[in-house]
Amino acid sequence: MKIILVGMTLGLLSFHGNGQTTNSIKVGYTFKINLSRKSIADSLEGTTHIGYLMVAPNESFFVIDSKYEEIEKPSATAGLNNSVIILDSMQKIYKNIKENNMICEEQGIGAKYWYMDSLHNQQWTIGSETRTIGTYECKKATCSYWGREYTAWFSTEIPISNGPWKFGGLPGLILEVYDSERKIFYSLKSIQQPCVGKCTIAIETKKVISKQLFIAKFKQGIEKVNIYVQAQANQNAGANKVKATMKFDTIEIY
Amino acid sequence: MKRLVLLALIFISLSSVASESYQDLMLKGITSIKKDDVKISFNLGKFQEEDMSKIEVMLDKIAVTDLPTENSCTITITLEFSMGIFKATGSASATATTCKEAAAIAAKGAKEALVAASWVIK
Repeated sequence: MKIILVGMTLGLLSFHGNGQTTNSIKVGYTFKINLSRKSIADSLEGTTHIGYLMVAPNESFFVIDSKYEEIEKPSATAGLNNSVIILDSMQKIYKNIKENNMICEEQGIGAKYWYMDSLHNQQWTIGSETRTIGTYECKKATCSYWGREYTAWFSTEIPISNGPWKFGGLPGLILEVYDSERKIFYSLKSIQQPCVGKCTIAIETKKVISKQLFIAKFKQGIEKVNIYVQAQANQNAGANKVKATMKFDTIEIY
Repeated sequence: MKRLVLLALIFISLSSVASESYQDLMLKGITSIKKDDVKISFNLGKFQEEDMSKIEVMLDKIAVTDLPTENSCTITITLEFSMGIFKATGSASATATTCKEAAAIAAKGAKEALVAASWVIK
């Protein structure tokens, strides 16, 4: 209890402690990402990570963090694609199921931010297609979310309305979800019920801003960098014309 | 037509003057060279200084290659790298009296943009 109180004083939120917790589940996902992929025909080279969703009755936590678990090394291929990425908390999301919101930790331009977002704000369309993933019978659902079209496969055999990253809101656990260009791909790796071992969370709660403000700061940051980039390019150009820009693509397209 | 000739010359120049580097870099993610725009795309798991130096080799080859002289030439160079949940793109388009000069300016601009991108998400 002392640990929890200290954590709350520091503005950190803790989640049901270490060790086994009844009514909880820990789901491992393989997360593949390659935002440079031009089409489905291209290889899904890029980076592969392991994410964990830990769900308790009123809250859940999703994390992709090198401190939590090892990050899988991508398969050996020619070129520069092999670099193993070790990022501190690529994705960290605390979902408050009771209050229907979530706190997202995200790297912005030059700083890390924490912002509040609506919980499971996807407008899903459930189709008739079915598929088996592992031993679970899954149904297909689709949605459009922040500029990308997603397909999810969920199973009502696990009646938990949740999923990797910000996904959820279906009548069963999402076991696989990917975008139409297959740049982003989450797939089931393991299920542990109840959750044992690392079932903890430490997420900032005092510096939380709105998502709108986060996006505004992100765009402002890019504008500032571009002013610098253009100034540098002008110096090199002398009397000639040059237009230099830098842009970022992220999972959510703002 | 002039653009096609220029494209062919860029290919020939790169193949003959810097064939080894060009082939090497092709493996590392160059996706296209089109029209009079030189588009170079890299997919890096993590932005590293040694990767940047390899890119510089490529850019230097373009800059020093004897491109044809025209009254005005525009060259665009685009570099990109993916770093986890980000994809950064640095692009510069330069117009100068010679293609050689335009390429050199665009190369420096694209590099500056990519370096800036690598710093802000480090």
